[in-house]
Amino acid sequence: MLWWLLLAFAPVSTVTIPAGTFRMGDDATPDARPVRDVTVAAFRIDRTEVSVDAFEAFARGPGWSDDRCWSEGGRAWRAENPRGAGPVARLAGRPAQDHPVVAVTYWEAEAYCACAGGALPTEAQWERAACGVDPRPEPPGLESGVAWYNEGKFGALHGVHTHGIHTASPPNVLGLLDMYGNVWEWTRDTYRADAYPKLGTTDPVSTEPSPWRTVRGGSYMNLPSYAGCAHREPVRPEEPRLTVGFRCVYAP
Amino acid sequence: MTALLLLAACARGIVEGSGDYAGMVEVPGGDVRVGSTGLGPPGGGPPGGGETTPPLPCAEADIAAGVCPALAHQPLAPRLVEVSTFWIDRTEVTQAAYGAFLADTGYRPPHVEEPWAEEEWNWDGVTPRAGTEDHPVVLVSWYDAREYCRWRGARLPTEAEWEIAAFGPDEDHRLYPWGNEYVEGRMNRGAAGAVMYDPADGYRTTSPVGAFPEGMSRYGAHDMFGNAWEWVADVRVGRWEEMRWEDADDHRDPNTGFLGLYGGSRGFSYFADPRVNLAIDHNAFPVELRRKTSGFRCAKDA
Repeated sequence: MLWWLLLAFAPVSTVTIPAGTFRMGDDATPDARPVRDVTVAAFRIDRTEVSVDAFEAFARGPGWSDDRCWSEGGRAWRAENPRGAGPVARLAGRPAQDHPVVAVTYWEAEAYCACAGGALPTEAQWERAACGVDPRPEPPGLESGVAWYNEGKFGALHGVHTHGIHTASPPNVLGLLDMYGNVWEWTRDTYRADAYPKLGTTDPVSTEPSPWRTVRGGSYMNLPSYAGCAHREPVRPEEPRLTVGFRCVYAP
Repeated sequence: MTALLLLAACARGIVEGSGDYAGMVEVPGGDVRVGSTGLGPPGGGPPGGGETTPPLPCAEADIAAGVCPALAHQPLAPRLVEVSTFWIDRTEVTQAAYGAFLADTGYRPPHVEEPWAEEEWNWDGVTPRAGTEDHPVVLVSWYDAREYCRWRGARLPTEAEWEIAAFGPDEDHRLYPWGNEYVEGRMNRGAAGAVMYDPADGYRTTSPVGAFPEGMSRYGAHDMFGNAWEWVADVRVGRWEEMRWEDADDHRDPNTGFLGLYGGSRGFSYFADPRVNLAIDHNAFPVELRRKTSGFRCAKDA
């Protein structure tokens, strides 16, 4: 166990998601069908996205070079990218370190979570936490205060327009913040448009080889429809983006 | 000897590719000016005078004061860039070609969960809507376009490459892909003077690629103006007028991995009209946005 590495991190507030079954997917979306009853074991999830502060502590600390935190793919990536996108890109011009970290690859997110004693969520865990315990909500509209690209399709995007991870935004009934919007969140699943029919319905996770992993939840750059419960986006695991961050899950 | 070489250069026709370059045409390298003052084409009008620049969208005083909304998205002052010989797709990437990519890779079909997209544009799987197979694919983000080109062993063109493929090198630069004057019937455009559909050119939205052969550029590229806006590789963190060129990508290397929020977009669409102001051609959209007028074509190193 990597428990001693937890000393390098400030304690993070988590929420327990009880074991249960929920309707996962959306028949109207080609890569999220069919809708099925999916059962997910209990788990804990970070209340917020991982902040710049927390990530930089990892990047500067012993975890970055501890091979036990890194998967085989992660170690291969780290050998070619010893600093990743770097702290300037990960802060991306924002005024404070309590904003969600961006420009982190899947491999860095995976390693961060491993060092913290957890893992990236599966798509099923993510969707269960976002809208599988509530009655399934519609994505919040533009008036909800979530960090949307809310100046219209022809509007102007002034920089990396996130809000701080603790900034008031409507939490879901579990008290989770920014499952919708702010930044996209890495999940563990590889992305294929035809994944769902091939997966089981108990703790499913897609491991079929693919150039992409799946991100969920939408970001400040996207219209609200991109943040739907079932909306799936493919991103290459080695690709840092100014709209993609993450949060971790842990054993209950 | 020099005269013969010059004759050969003038007589140089369209050079079509085969094998890995099937469907592409060769664009000879040269110097090209990228950027725009917003008042017309880079560097002024066509060589030797000729057609005047299109009418200004605002009073000159307002333009000088920076309060002209039509010019709000214009990039910085032009600079000269050297482009190496390269290849570019003769046409925008079609729906059929994009469907083949989806079927082969399991990538995400174009789909936006909104009524306007559901009515006319969303894909239901890996097959395009009946009747659109030879139209340019749209509803693809800058990332989607990059993934397609990468699957084909190609890449997006840089803005400089797009510029030279459309208009030629700086010393012989056209205002339009086909020449120096606007001519009706040479592009699939939108309503005159307003951002809106216009079916008068025969097409309310997208047209089959190559349907306006008289609009072809000198190197054989079709629909450089009109049909779909075309993503280029260049990205910006801010709106173009907020960036200095020193912050920008190396225009000769589209794959620097520079992080950006806006992707460059060129060439107008079925929904836009170049007669409003040619400089609007220099456009940019957020990189993740999927739009009903945004498509692309690919380029490849020689």
